[in-house]
Amino acid sequence: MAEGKPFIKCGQLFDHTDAFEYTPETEQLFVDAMNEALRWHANHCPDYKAFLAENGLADLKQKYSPEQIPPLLVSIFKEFKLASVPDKQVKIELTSSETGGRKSAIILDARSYKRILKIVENIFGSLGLVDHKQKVNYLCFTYDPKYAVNVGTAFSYKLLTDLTAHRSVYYAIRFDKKTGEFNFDAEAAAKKLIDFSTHPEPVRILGFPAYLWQVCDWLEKNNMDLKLGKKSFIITGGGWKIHKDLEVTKDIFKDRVNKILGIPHENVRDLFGMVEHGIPYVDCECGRLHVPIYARAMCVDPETLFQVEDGEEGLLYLMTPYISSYPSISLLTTDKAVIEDNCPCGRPGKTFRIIGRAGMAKHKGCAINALELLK
Amino acid sequence: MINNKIFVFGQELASDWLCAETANELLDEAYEKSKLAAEPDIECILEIFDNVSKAWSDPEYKLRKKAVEILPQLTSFSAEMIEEGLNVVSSICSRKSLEKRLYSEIGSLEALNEGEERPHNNYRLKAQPRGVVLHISTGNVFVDTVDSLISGIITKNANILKMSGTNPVFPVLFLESIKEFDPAGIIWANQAIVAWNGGNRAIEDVLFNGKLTLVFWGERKALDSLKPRLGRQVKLIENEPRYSFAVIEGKCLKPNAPENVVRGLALDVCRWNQQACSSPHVVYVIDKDLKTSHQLIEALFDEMIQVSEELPHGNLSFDEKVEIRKVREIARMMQVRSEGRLVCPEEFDFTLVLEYDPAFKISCLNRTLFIKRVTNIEDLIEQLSPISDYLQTAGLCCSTDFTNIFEHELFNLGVKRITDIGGMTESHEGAPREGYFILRDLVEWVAVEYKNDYQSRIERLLKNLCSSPYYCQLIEEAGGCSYNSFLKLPFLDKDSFYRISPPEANNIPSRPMADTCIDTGLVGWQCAHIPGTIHHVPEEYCYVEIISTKDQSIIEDDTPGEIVVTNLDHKLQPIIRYRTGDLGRWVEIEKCPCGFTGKSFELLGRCDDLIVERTIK
Repeated sequence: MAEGKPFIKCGQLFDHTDAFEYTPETEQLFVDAMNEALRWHANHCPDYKAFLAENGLADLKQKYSPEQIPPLLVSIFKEFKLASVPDKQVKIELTSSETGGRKSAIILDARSYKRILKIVENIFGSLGLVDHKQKVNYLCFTYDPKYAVNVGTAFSYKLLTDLTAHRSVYYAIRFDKKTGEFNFDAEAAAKKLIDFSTHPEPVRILGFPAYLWQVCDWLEKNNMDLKLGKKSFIITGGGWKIHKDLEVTKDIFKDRVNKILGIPHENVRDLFGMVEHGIPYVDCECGRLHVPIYARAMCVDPETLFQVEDGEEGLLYLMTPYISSYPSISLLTTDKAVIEDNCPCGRPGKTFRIIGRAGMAKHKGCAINALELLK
Repeated sequence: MINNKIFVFGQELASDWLCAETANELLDEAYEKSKLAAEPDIECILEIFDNVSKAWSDPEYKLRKKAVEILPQLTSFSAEMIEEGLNVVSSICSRKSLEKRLYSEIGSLEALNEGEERPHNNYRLKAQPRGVVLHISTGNVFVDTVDSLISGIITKNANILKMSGTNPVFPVLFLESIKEFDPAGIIWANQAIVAWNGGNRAIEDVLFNGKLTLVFWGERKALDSLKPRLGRQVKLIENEPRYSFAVIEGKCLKPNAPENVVRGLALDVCRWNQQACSSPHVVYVIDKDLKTSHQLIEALFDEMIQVSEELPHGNLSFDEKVEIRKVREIARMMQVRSEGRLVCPEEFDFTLVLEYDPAFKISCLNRTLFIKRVTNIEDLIEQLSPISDYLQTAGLCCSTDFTNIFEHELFNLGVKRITDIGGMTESHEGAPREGYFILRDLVEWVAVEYKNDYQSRIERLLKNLCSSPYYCQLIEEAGGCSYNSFLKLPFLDKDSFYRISPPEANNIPSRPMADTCIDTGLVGWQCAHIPGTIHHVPEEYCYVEIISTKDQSIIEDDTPGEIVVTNLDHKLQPIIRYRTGDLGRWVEIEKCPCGFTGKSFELLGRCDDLIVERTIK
């Protein structure tokens, strides 16, 4: 996927299919790619250029380390529509699924769209989760993308179902044509899973963990233990949000699904991502979220923005050069996290742990809205 | 060193004493104590608080020193802010302040004792304590927590205060200091300061089903979840968080922003790190020219630097920092897009944001203020309308004409309190805190009604004269408090005047005797329709008799005699059958055009002027 000017280095970076190939070369490519992206956005998004100047970054000929690029706070994208491409180049516009207030609108041009498909493939592939020959039955605890066209989470999970061939895909948050609303029915989802278990193909369960917890409740109540097998996976995402009272540790969660669904512990993976950033951070077999070579993650003090030591809690700060449609190449999130390294799985690079949402105000993101459908 | 004790109605106990098993015990004891709490004279309560006030005003007072040492560790307030808070506590407790507050809300001190006579309404009004008051406050401002307790005490209730999880210390220290100045235990022994984790059903189900008044300060969500759990006998006084704002008329800022206004605003933002409901979230500048708002933000920046040195912020939590970061980053982007301006120091000491969008915005607090421009009052009202149900204080700096119109508009909108800038977070002495007249809700208004004919009023007057030893004896000798006994009481002349008063009345200086009217009060009045010296008797105020100058028998017809007056209201210095030395006679007026239908007399001069020679006058 070689790219021409002005994204030669970006193209070279994404061509590295091993997402965890940390070498001096890939490190340098990342730095160069970030500088390409910086110049692109500064030249195509006047607000971003003014923002950079306001933060003392006016000389665009100079080369910067990624950490020198001032970050935009994730909330900025909820308040302002920033774009580095004209409307006609927008291939897809994703909104967060929140119902009230301003929508978080993220636009992807064809270039970014193509890149993210490749990045997703690379990351999941490097974690052993891609097999295009294998047919899989999917149970997705997410909005049916047929009806929730522009919802970020639905888009993300649509990408995940393309990591394998499929026998069938079932979206558990169903659109009710009569009421025009999305509904979740734990019993129907459980029955679908029972049906899947009678087929030879493995199963992949994707989405919010609280929904799967409800399905396990139903199966347990009906004394049903399934044996979905070693080739089946669970990829959770979105966290527990408003169902904090249900929240359990990863280990307890894994124990329960292992017992009820017969899926091995190491096949239960959590995924962290945000529509404004796009890079999926996925658990390895050891349950750690790995940072791929296409991104960089660190934690900072929210007041000084100074980097905190690895192992200390801070505000998660993410960088990636892949997005050319809006200037979120250096992003300050509102998540509290801890950066770690030396993962026992042996993959090089950093990993991080999300501690939780930071700040006092109530945040209503996609995950919360979907969870509100829980009966 | 975190506190690990609580007070429960005169006993010092371990902080984990309250549990499902002891909750009933707490409630039963509270009912008992509520009877005792209602007994003391309000004067005694004020006296104790005045001593508490003096103690807390001394920086060397041991409990104050302890508070200054511990509270900065528990709260996000700096030591300087804590000191200021303790000064407020001292000032709230002063007799002067409490008296002012009681007068303004209850009307008199007497209403809390025997009741306040309302002679013209034919009843005695009494502010009856509600009994047991449970205070639950989730707030961070420790002054408000003890203020709630003080309100419960001065209305003579027995109180149970639930301490907030973050500050389980100050209420205990405060009660400890009351104990110090209340050796007889008339106040402190009737209070309980306890702790439990909010949501503990086992404890709350007992308390919420008791017979009590619940004063709740907290979030709407907490309140909504609480309401369905309250028993039939709980009276809820709800105080949910509200939002406050300041308004400055542009012309008051020209040519330069006045120093006192800028300082006042800086203090209102900085006190309690803006966490009081009365702290401003937004300051609106009413002006067509946006420049005025820019001038204000610049002047305010300098003053905020100054105030931040005097009253440092204290520690910010991670989450608080994140909230400030969000506000700043959005403001920075607005500035870039020419939609606003961010003015702040690099550190998170304070954040000032001028936003060109006039919509009201809720601040993340911790000294984060939005400055917004509106062009006129209508515009302002429109911006505030969406949150009209949640408004509390408006701090105003406007010209007088403007203020008058504005007050009306703001109260119509839902504002609860209007004050000056600088006074938003610091109540004026005796004013209700946070604009809420809580004392009125902590009492039940009851009345003792009575008939209003003169016989009933005389009988009631006699019953009330126990404080005068002189009359006490005479009434007994006359056979009791009936009207017939009254007619047996001896007449009062000037010489015996001093003997009738209770001893304390003699301490009151200068009681002139020169004029009869001063002795007795009003005896008669003249309307425009009656000639000469004829007077109508104000029967709601006094009872007039005319007696024979010869044998002192009561005259019913128009024969002249001495006017004798009984004042129906005076109790401290009773005027019973007082011989005025004036000569008069009854005059029959069938129907005075003024509408008066009572008795009238003609004033004939002084008794000494009368020469009686046989039947010739």
